[in-house]
Amino acid sequence: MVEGIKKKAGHCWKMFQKQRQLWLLCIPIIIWVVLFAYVPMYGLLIAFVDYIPGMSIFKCNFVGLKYFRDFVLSPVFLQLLRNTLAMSLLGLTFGFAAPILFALCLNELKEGWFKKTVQTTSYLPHFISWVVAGSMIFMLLSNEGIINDILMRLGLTEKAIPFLTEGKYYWVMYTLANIWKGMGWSSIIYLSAMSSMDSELMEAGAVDGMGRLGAVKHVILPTILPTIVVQWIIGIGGILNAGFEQHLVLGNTSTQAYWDVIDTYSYRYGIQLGYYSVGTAVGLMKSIIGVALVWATNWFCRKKLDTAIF
Amino acid sequence: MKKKTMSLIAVALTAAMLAGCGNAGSNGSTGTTGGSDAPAAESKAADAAGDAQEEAQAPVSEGSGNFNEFGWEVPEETLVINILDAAGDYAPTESEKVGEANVIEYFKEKFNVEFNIQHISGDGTEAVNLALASGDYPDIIRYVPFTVMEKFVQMNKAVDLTPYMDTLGTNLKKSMGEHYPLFLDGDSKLWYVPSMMGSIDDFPDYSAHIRYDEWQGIGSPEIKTPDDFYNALNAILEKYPTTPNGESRYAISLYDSTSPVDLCGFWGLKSGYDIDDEGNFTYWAFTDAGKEMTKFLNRFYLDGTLDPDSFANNFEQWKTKFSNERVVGMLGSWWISYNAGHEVWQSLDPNMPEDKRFIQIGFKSEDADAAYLSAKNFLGSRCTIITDKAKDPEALLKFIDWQASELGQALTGWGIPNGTPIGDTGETGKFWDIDEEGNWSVDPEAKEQLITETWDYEAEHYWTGVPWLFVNQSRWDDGEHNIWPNQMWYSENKWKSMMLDNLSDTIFDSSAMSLRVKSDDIKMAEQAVKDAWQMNWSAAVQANSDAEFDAAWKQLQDALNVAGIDKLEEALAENYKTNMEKLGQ
Repeated sequence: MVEGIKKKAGHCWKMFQKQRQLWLLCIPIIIWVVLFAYVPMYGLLIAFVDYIPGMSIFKCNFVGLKYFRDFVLSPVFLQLLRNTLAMSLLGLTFGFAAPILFALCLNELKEGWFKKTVQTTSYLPHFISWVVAGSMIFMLLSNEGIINDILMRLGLTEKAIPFLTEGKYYWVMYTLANIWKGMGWSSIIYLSAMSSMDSELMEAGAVDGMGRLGAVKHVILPTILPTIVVQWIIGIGGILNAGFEQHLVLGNTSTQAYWDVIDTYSYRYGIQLGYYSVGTAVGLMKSIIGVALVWATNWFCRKKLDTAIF
Repeated sequence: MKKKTMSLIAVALTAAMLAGCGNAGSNGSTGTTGGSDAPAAESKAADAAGDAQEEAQAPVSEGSGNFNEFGWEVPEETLVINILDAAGDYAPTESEKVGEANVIEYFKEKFNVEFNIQHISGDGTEAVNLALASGDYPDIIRYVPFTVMEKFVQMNKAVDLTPYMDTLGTNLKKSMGEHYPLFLDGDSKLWYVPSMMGSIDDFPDYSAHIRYDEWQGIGSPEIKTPDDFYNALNAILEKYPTTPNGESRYAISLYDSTSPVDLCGFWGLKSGYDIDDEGNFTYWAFTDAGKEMTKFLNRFYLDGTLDPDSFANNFEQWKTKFSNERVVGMLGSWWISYNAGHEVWQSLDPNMPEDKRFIQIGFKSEDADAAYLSAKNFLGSRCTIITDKAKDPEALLKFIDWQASELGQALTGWGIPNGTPIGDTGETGKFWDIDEEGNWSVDPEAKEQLITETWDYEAEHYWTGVPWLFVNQSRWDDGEHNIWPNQMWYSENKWKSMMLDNLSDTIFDSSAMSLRVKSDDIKMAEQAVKDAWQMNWSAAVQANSDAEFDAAWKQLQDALNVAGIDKLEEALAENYKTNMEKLGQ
C-alpha cells in the first residue's frame, strides 16, 4: 500500500519535473482559482449560522440545518420547485435541441452570403440585454401588441390573448424567448464540432447512396455527439438555474405564481431582506444538487454512450 | 533562454494579478456604484477622504465663532462629510449632476464643508447590507431602511445620539417635536435621525383622477361614491371613445406599483387595515371593504373598460398610454396625472386649453365612515446614521442639526439662493434670496411661476442637490413655508385649491400605525404576505364570473393565511397600542 503510494508520488513528481515550465506558467491561474474560487467558499458557513452582516461568521449563533429546513418546509417550496423544474426541463428539451437543429440546418447551406447573413443575424439576440428584450416582447405580446393585432386582423381571435398576464402562457413564452436569444449563439459550438468532421466519411457515404438525412444520422450526429454530451451534462448540472433577470423583466404580479423560481425567491428573501443565511443555504442546496446531477449524468453517459466529461 | 523567458512571464503574470487585487486608492468627490459594487467603491471613497478627515474634523465641533448668513458656524478647518446615499436607483440627468457639483462647490465656499457623496445606482438596501457585511461604509449613511439601521445598532456600528440631543441636537429635537419619543428605542436611546420626516398634513397624497374637460363635457356629474366614479368614467368613455389619433381608450388603467393597500382607502380602510376600537387590525383581504374594492375593479374588467395590460404595464409604459390620452381616469398619487398629463401636453402645445387636464377628486364607499387616502406618517421610514467610522461624530451631528434649522431646511429643500447658472443657457435661476445678514425672501418670479404652474422643474436641478441628511416636510411655524417649493400658496392656485377642497377630509395621521421594530418572523411574514397578494389579487380583479371571483378571493385569503397574515396583524396591533400609549392617546 505504502509502496504503491510512494510509486504514484514518484510518478507525479517525475511528471511535474518534466512539465515544470507548463506548471510555472499555470501558477497565476492556480493562485487565481485558489483565491477567488476556493477561499470565498468559507462563506458557505453562513448557511449554517444565524448570520448578522458585519459580525464574524464564527461569532454568529450556529443553527445547523435550520435554514435548509425552513426553505424546504416553506409553503411556497413546492411551487418554486415546480416552476424551476418546469422551465429548466423545457429549456433542456426544446432549448437544448434548437441550437443543434439550427446548426444542422446551417451546415446544409452552401458557403455564401446567405449563410453568413443568417449566421450573424442569429447571434445578435444574444447581445441584447434582457431589459431591451423585455420591452420588445412587451411590444409583441401585450394585449395591444403586434401578435394580438395580427391575430385579430386575421380573425383568428375575437379578443386579445393575454400572453403576458395569464400564467399559463408564461413557461412557453419564457422558453421561446430563451431560444430566440440563445439559439444562434449556442449553435456556434456545434458548428465548430461539425467543422472537424471527416470529409472522407461524407464522400464515402455519398458513394454508398447516403442521402442528406442519412448523412446527418450516420456521420454528422456521431461526430458531434461528444459535444452534445458535454453540453447536456453541463445543462443537467444547471437544472435548478431557471433564469433570474428574465423573470424580473418578463414577469408581473399576474404571472408570479408561474415565474417565481428558486433564484428569485432567494434574491427577495436573501439579498433584498438582508437574510444572507437564507440566500446562502438555498444557493448551497442548489449547488449540491447540481454537482450530484452532473456526477450522475456523467456516469450515465459514460456507461451508455461511452462519452463523458471526466 | 527559454527557461528564463518562461520564468519571467510567470513572475510577471503573478505580480500583475496580485497588483490587481490591491486597492487603487483614488477617488473623486462624488461617485456612483452599482448595488453589489458599493462596498468596494465606497472603500475607495472612505480611504481617500479618511486622511483629510483625520486632520480636519477634530476642532470642528469646538466652534470658530464665525457664523455665516445661514447660521452655520464656519469651521476653521474644512469639515469633510463622507456620505453613503442608500436611496439607490441613482440615475441622474445631466442637470442633476451639475446641480450636485454646484452644491458641493457652494458648501465648500460658504460653509467650509466638503461633501464626498457615494450614490448607489442599484438597490440601495442591498448595497448597505453588503457594506455592513464588509465593513466598508463611511461616516454617515443616509436613507437606510429602519431594519438595516437596527443591524448597525446591534453591531455597535452606529453612534448613540441621545447624549447630544440637548446640546448639539436642539434643532433636531425641536423638529421631531411631540413625535420624539417614537424615535427612541426600548432603552430610550436615539440611534438615528429620520432622513425625511414630517408631512404636509393639509395636502393630500393619494386621490382619484378624472379628465376635467371631459367630465365637464358629460355635465359635471357629482362624484361621491365608487358607483358615481364608475358611472362618470363610463359616461366619458361613451362620449369620447377614442383619442384624437383614433386609438381606443380605457376607463381606468393600472400599473405594476398599484397596490390594493392604497386603493382600500376609498372603502374606509387605513393603509390597508380595518382597525377596531380596541386597536386590533384586520387585513383588507379579510374585510368586506377589500372585497368591494376588488369587485369595483372587476366590474371595469368585465365591461372591457379596464386596460387589459393593467398588470403588465410598468410605470413608463403606463405613462405613455396616459400621455397619449388613452386613459379616462386613474387612482394614484396626485402628482402622477400632472406629470403624465397636462405637464406633457403643455410642453407639446403651449396653447393647450387650460381645462384639458386631470383633476384630483375623492369619493368614499357608502358603508365607510370616511375615505382614508393619504396616510401621513410623521416618522418617515428611512434613517440617517452616524457610524463608528466617524472620527468626530459631534461635528457631523452639529452639521445635521444645522440642517434641521429653518435656514438649513431652506437651503436643503429650495437649493442655492441668489441665482445659479442654468447650464450653458447664459441664464440664472433661483427660488429664493438671502443677504449677508441672513434676511431671506422667496423670489417673486419663482412664486408666480409655481402658482401658475409654469415653473421649470428641469432648470431647478441646477441649484438643488444638497444631501438630505435630515428634512422635515411639515410646514414651518409660519404655517406657510416648507421644503417643497411647489407645495405652498395653494389658495392662490386654482387647481391646487380645487384638489384641497375635494380631498381635505381624506388625510389621516398614520404615525402610530408605523411598525418599525420587527422580529425576523415578522419581516419574513411581511414579505410573504406581499408575495401572496401579488400572486393572487390580480386573478380576482380579472375574474370572468362571480364563481371565478369567489374562488380567486378564497385562494387569496388562503395564501395570505399560509403567509402568516395573523402574525403581522398581531404585531401591528401590539405596536399600535404601544405607540398610542406613548403619545398619550
